[in-house]
Amino acid sequence: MKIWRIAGRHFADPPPADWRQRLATRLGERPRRVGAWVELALFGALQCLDDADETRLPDAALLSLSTLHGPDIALRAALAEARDGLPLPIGFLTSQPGQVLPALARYLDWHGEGRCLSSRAPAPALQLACVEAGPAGLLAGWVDEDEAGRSLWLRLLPEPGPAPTLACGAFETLADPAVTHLALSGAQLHLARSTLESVHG
Amino acid sequence: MSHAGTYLQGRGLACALGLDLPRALLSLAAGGVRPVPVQLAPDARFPAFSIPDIDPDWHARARRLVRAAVAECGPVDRSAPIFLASSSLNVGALENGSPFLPDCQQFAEEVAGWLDWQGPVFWVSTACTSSVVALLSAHRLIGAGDADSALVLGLELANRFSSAGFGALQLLDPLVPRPLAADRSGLVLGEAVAALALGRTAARWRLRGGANRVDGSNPAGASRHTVERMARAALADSGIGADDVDLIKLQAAGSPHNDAEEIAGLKAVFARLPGLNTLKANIGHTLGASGAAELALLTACIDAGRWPDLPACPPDPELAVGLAPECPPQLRFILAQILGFGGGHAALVLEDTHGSPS
Repeated sequence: MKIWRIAGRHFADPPPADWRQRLATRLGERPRRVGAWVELALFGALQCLDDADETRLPDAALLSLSTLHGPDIALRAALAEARDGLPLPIGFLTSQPGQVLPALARYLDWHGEGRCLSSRAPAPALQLACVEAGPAGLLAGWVDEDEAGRSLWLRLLPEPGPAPTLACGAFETLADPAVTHLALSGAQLHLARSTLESVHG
Repeated sequence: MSHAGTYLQGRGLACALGLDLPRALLSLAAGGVRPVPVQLAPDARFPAFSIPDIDPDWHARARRLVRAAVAECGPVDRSAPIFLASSSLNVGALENGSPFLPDCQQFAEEVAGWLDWQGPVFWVSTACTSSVVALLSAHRLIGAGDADSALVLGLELANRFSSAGFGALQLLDPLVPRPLAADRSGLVLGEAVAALALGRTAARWRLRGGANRVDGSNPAGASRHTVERMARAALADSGIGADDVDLIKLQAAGSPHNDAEEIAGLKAVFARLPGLNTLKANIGHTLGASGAAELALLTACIDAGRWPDLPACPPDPELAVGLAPECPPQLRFILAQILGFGGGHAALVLEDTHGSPS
């Protein structure tokens, strides 16, 4: 089992009420030509990088964004707009899930491998990303606009040192800052806590 | 470098040329098909390539086409992962009055249900590169031993919204696709349902590796520097050099900007460009399905010894390249790339294990 160190994390669910203002402050501007779903992704990804003490995402790192709804709200608006003619270009752009990647690339100053996908449970998307990531690790996110919204992100790096003690755990447990490492066998998540008792290595 | 390789165990395709690959090859031999104009708004009319299957029931048509494309692949392990690669997903159904589903994944699961699929279901949405990104993921999952096989299903069916959106962005050609032509003026969209089954059992076509690079500088187009980085990374991942490549299947959709950026990026990698090919003039740009659809069609053409006719349009002298009039006589490695919308740049290296190096 490949073991990953959690180098950075942003797991606020839901995000703080003033997340949009905080994103604009962080960037020095409101991001242009992107919709709310992309803004939410940017907010969490930047918070996660800040937590990892990284000013940019290395180009060799994999970026994997998982979503169940994507820019659904923007899609509904653009479809209504296009019912009797052409949609506005900005409306069409914000309705396309793939547009989150160039926005992340621009604001994370990253030119690497990235993708947007959906899976019913969060762990299979993480499993896939962990299989594909190399020595520079990965930035994995789960972003949805539904209800209060959520933008959960992990910055993971391969653990070069001795294997920590791991135990089966739930995805939601990753919010706990005491969880320091993770590994996956299939879609089963194994976690290491700084104070967890040994179950198996 | 990537692992030793994943083999193409089966392929199926419904596109404008026909409802399956044998019929597509017959259509190519007879001169192919032309796109048909679609009225999007009172003052907006653009051509598009349609699958020759008329049915007002969007879901019934989609289900039939998906089942047929997967059946054409031959036996597949339905407990394996399935990757649905699509830009527009079920937008055509929504336009026809179908209710919005609770989430995007539900449609991917519905498609899996049409196939009695039991394995994990992923929907990959990276715009035009979706199928290539999905193929890379499937290849790596198999290589890591996390799956024995996987199915990539590219799905792009007619809808007003995609055409209208690309039209609003002024990215569509009002006439026909003119890849690498002096007078090229944009994309012509097309429908496709393409299924590619990957696995470990040795077969003629081996996926050696690939690369996917995102560029944030232009959310609607390609960048020559990223084309160069992508191609170099794809070759390195596949353990081959530029001199080993015998054929490049280009994106070359007829976009004035992207075609030029693609060729400039490749010229930085290849001292002398190998044979070039594109299938956009034959089936249109099938967006998220294009990577799978073009690989299915290209490998079928090579297997059958049927090379697509060249588009009848004068080449752009500024690009100083031309498409190969016939299949390279000695062919082993193909670099197949898809670029464009969403800053996506993705390429695969395919090996003809029956071929000989040039």
